[in-house]
Amino acid sequence: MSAANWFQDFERDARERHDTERLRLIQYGYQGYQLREKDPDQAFLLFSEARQLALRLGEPWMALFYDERRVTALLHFKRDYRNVLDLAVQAALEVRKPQYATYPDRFSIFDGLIAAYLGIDPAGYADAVRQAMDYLDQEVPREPDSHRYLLLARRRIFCLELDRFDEAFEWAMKEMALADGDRDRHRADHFLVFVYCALCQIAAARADWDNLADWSETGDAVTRRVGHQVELAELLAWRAAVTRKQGEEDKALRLARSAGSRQKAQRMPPSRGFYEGLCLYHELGGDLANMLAVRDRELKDVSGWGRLLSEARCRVNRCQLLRRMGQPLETELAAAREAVSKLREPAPLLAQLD
Amino acid sequence: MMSLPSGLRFVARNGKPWRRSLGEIHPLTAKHKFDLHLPGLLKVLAEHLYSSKKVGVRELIQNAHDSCVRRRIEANEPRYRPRIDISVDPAKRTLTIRDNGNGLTAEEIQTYLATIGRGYTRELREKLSLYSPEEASELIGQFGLGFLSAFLIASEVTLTTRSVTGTGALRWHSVGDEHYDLTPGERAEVGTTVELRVKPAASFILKENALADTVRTYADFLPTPIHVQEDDHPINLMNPPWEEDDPLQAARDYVARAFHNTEPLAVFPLTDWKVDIGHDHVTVPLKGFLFVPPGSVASVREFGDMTVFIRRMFICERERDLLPPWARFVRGVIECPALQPTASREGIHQDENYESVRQALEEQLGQALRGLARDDPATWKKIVRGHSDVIVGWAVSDSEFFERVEDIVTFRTSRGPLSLGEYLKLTNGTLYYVTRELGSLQEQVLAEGRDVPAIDASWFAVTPFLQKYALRHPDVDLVQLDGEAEQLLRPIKEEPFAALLKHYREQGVRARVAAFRPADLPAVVLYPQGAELAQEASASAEAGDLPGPLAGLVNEYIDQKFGGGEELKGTLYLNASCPLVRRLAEAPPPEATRAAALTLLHQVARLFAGRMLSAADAIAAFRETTRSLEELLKP
Repeated sequence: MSAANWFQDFERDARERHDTERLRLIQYGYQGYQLREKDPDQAFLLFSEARQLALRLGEPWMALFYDERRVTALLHFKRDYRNVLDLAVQAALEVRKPQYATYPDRFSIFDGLIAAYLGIDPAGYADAVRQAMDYLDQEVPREPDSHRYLLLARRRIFCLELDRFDEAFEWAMKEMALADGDRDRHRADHFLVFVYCALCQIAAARADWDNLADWSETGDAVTRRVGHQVELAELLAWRAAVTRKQGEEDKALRLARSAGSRQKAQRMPPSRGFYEGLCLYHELGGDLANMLAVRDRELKDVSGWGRLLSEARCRVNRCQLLRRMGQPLETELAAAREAVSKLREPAPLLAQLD
Repeated sequence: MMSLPSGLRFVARNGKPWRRSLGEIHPLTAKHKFDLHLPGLLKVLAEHLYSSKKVGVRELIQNAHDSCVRRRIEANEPRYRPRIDISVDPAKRTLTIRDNGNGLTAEEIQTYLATIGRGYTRELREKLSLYSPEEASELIGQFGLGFLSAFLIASEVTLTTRSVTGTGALRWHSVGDEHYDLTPGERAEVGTTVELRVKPAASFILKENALADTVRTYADFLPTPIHVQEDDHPINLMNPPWEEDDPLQAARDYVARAFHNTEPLAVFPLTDWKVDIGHDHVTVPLKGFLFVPPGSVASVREFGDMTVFIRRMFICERERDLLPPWARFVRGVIECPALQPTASREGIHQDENYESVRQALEEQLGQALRGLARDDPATWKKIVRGHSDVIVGWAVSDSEFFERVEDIVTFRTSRGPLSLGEYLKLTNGTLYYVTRELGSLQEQVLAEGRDVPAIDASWFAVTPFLQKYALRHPDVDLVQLDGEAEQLLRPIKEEPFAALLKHYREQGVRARVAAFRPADLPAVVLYPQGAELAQEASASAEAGDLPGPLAGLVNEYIDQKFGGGEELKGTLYLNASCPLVRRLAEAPPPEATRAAALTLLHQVARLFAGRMLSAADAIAAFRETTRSLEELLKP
């Protein structure tokens, strides 16, 4: 039985019995997901409340399901990594108990654990993360399936976080191939949104303007179809950069503004590509001051949330930018060194600072 | 929609067979038309479109009402008084709905009554909406499907009608198949009577009380008086509360009547509202009211529900998506013609109009609550306290609202419900809270020993609320007692107690000395936050029940968080303020007695902590306790 089937069965059963409490329990899941972009805090609270309700109703699988949702909300909706490992480990330990032997969504629980390390310090835990992904690779079906998509995405993110763009590209292509063979177009489109965002980042790192133009535009179309606003803002930022490169200043400005305003309407923080896209846009215009403003915004979004690598990298980028602008560096350098020193493998970023 | 190019008709019994041969209508080269299996379609529409059989009564009442409105609009009779009568005869198993509306001609029966998907009311409304929108809004029928619902409850339907146009009375009769009979009828006055022979499965409607409840539910606000079982007084209110002279009082009366004698804490009338839709503004026509019930037992209660009327006809209750998620402590009754009912009219389409209505409601509610907080703080306080669990959850993610409730909302503490303002006066600016429902007695005792109450933060939203509060008030400290209870202990010089500590060190027990209250408490064992989790991880590692690579990730976490794991065993704190402990340090009894007393203290403290003990641990602790007591009791 798949997780989706179990959830649907639970809902149907509750509906047939007119069991309003259990129907409410199901609705929390839908409501929380709908709120993920606009109000991730509320989404997290809804999942937390659902967990308490599940315990009160004596529904341990549902309680575990919402444990996993809480982890997801912290990781992907709020991007708050401060205490996420506590919850992810707790869920992983819970699911090993006998009453969850046939629990249908064990993968998501283990995936949450991996994603937590990826968001905190992927290089620092590289071996353990890789081994865990290799293990799950054996467990997850090869054909199109949400779990297969998620696993490929984790592998791609792992490489991207370590700036190993060629490997990230290989994984992205595998995701594309999986989506090509997927009869469930809605599911395929959902996952493709993130693939296109990643491909834009890869193309930008390779200065591959043709592909950046192609992927950002195609990704934009897919994302509009699916309706993900945060990713749409990211793709608009990439499109702004490409358009500026093509010399269409007015259109590029419109796109950059649209990216900014779309992101501003959401409380879910953007991912790395959004800042990179906007920085590239400003860089192409020689506008280092606005580039710094983007990095400042990025720093505000990533610092203090347990995202050790993201914060360290952002601080290093800011130092490099300040140096180019000829501005004083001492304080920033000290802060960057401190942030980098929290990583388990600080050497590569320290080298960039030196 | 059901309307097909030529309509889909019942066929009079003297007409052609309803289905022609395939060759007759499907020449192979021509453009083909859909064909229909009428009995099957009738069955689907009559039996599956609606979820409740009661809807059949609603649809027939609505047809009767529309007929009355039509007579008033079209017949120009100044003295006309509309009326609907409904009665049941349990012996004959009949339900009869009689109106003095405009009646039907034979042609109208053919064109509208017997054509599924085509309704006169909709066509009349469309005409009227051009020059008389007020009158148009009084008409309810929309889809031309309602009459079919009679077969939800009836095996046989007889309609007798005389048109206001002066034609003779007619009798229409159907047993729910594709045919009907249309013959001259007997009826002296203008209007229509529908007589249903009630199916066994719908027998409930033959009970007078059930009928009355059904009529009240669906037609309370219909302006046409409805009389049940020939009662002189109409059963329906006819006027919704918002049309009364004193709408607020009427709304309160209505809430008491419709919601089990609930006395609302506040009622907020609704009005038309202009909403920003990004590129433009639209005005949402809105009537009705929102209200706040006196209290909620728990946040999962069914609040946030809206009862929806469209053109005064009840559509649904418990519509939960119209109010924002944070407003689950609010309920409401609305009338909004902008909402689009589903074909069964038991629900609402969640289209762009729905979004605008939702936005209008959120904005009006927000404004009303802000106004209440400003102008009527006493009522506002009652609302916040009555619904504190729900409101705490909302405030955590809404900073503006947080500011309005942060000092009003109450929390469960070891001294009963207290607001944070009241609480902080007792604790000199520190919030002490426990997140565990079980095993927190030790921490509460320590807190009370310091003469401060502990806040029960086991409800999911309390901890984030307290964290947000402390963030907004830098002078307020936040102490989670389960895991950080050391903050309730006062460090002291340990030298005078060195011998006691040495004893414990030799036993492999981590021990410290501190001063804390109550002084009668000789020792406590404190564990770090997450100790249970680490213990479980280590048990899992031993059992090997997590796949190796995933266990690796778990172990990384435990190593990172607890290092060598020594502190996971807990730390015994001897209380330097306790006379017994001081006596053991300053005037020690013989070595064996002191050792027994110290062991006793340690084991009692472990048991009192109530954490990190397996059943085997607890048995071992009691065994040690017994052994120590025996040692102490030796002559």
